[in-house]
Amino acid sequence: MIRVVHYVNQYFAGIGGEDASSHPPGALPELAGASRALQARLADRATVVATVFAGDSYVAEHEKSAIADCVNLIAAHAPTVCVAGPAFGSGRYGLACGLVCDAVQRTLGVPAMTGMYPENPGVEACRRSTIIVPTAETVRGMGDALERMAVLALKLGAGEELGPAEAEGYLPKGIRVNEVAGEVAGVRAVELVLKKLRGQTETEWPLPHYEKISPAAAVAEGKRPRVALVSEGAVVPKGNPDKLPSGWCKVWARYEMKSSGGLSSEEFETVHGGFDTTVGNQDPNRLVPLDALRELEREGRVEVWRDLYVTNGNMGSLTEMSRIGSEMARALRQDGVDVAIIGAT
Amino acid sequence: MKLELGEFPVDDVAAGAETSYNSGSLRVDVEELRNLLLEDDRFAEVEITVASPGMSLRVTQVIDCVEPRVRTAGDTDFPGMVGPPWTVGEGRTHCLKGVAVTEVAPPIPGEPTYWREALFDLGGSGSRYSPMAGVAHVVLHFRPSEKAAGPHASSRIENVFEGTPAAIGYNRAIRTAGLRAALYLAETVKDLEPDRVVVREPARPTDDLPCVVYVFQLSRSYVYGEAATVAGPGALPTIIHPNEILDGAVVNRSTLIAGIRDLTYLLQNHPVITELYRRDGHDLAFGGVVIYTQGDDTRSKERLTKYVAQLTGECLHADAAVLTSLGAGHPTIDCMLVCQELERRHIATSLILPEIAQDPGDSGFVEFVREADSIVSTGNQEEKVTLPAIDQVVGGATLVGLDLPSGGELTIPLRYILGATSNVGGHVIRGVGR
Repeated sequence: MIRVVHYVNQYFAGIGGEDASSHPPGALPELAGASRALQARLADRATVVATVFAGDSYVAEHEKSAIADCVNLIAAHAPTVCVAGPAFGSGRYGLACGLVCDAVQRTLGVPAMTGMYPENPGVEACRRSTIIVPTAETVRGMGDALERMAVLALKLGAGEELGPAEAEGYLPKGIRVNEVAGEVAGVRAVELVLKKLRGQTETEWPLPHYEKISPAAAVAEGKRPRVALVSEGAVVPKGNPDKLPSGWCKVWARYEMKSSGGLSSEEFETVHGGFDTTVGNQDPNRLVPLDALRELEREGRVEVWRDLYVTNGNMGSLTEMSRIGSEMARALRQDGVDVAIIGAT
Repeated sequence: MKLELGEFPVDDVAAGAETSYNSGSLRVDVEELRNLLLEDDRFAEVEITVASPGMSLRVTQVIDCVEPRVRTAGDTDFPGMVGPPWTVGEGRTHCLKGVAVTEVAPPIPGEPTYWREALFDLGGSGSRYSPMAGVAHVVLHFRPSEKAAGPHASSRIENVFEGTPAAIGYNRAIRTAGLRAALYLAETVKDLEPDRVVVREPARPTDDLPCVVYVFQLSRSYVYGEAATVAGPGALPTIIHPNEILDGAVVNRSTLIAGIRDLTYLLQNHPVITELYRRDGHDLAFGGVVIYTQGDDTRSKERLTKYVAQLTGECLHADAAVLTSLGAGHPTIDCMLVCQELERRHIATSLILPEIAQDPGDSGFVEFVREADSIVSTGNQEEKVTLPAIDQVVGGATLVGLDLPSGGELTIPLRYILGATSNVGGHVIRGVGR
């Protein structure tokens, strides 16, 4: 018999709304409404044995201990599979679902899955480790979400291996693997465009959802900001002393720009492998606009930070470039930089 | 405009006393062919290897592959490259099927080596990665003369994608030599009766069938012998008849990434054009082909995006379009902008694209628009594959840029393998999401 433990937040547990979001983890004496609705979709092929819950804010503020507590509560009911959510568009709930599922899988070795709106921030946080069923943005999609989640819950509970994301109805984990298709790509492309004309749009490669970043606040009026130049154009001291690669780069460097004017082509060059570097080598200021920035400095409007932060974006992987960006940001903060001007190629 | 492709299947190929074709057997007078090619004094030597599919042979440092063909009218062949730059795509062309002429050449000073390596296995477990593995090959291994690559040859590269003018010229010489060799072989069947004739002629347009246009981003190819370089004032997108592409008007010019290379062989047998013709008159009307290059700045991008959409929608009356792209960087951005513009004009699109995902979790996209909701993936070019050690190598002793012995076991990204992720849709590898 497949035993399902259902994780929800304080709202779906019936404890309360935003006011109750600091509620610590617990298990309900009786199944929550959403858990009963899940049971209805599972019919007699599985039993929802318990509803475990936690307040969204509580999880956010006490992540480690909160998740550990949730895992213990879940373990106490000896589940075959754990289902969290659906969280719809609710960001903190989505993140909590992802954390719970990840921990249940790692700590208990029990399969776990969740459901949420594809643009929920929780997706990027846990898609690689957890099966996520895409849902509507609001709770009006509950019935449909539970219907589709139940299908996968039964498969996971039965120990079945899931097929490709598109076929099974979960969000691609972001892992792509190559396989052999039955027909060449040219044949498949004509078939797809005819399907689209018939209203049956299909894709072999779903578009990603990137995290939306809110811009930082503007510099305070009247303040003379410290401005740093950052570049992915692989502008390095001539001779490339640290051997910055021409592509597929996993490192970054910082170099002092000693000149009180712009960058000199005798001191700097670009080793980027993704564009014609002729102009950049003749005048590196066209990649890193130090000359223009020095003018603003002479007018007293900015203070130019002494170091250039540089990497090579050519064929750069998203994972590496995200990490490099984070590391640069931390270093820029430490350097007291207010504004970074990033040159992209 | 009607093109008849007269096909002569080649079941076995070997060196022989005389170049001839007889009931599927092709014999190549290697000495005669060699002398023909050495007429260009930029070559010191051309070593010719005749290879059958399934052989334990690895071909490296590949420049291009060409299917041997000859126009029976005798007017022009590979126009602008070999023959005069007159239009083709009509009349009868005889083709040797199941064999390719393949040019191999080490890089010379002045050539960018960044993307230069391109290889495939004819047999063994590694052969599945290349669409060129299934045919026989007459491999031409060129060595440059002093004239092409002597000590005076400049190695200072101004244009990182194409190299010095001398390197560009030498590259063209190799390709032209390959085309001449292809023509030389095909001439043996010029006056013979083909096994079958494939007719390429657009069906009469009807109102009830959706009009589908092929929108083809060229990879700086030669079109009638002229390099189709980035879009600028003199390089507007244009319309070309699909038969012209099938009949040798467009020739590969690129030594960029092997996996996505627009081999001349794949253009002569263009998978999208072939499929559109196959369904023409049944569930679609093949509306024609638009070709364009790329824009290196905002202004060029805007110009070409609108212009391509205008040609596709207003001039060719498309209801739908299949788009292929050079792949990577600026060209992919242009393809996505074209997709977006077409969709905004209510022209349904599908795209063929390679994935470029280095790490698990990389989306693989260089750039995308929300309208690109129907994409055929030709596979992740960064996925590593292992080719077993091989008995024989034609090409370099080590791989260009990787410094691995060519004949040994190789674990390399898919993009090193010729045509593996063919961006004109010529191979069967695709990416799936897990």
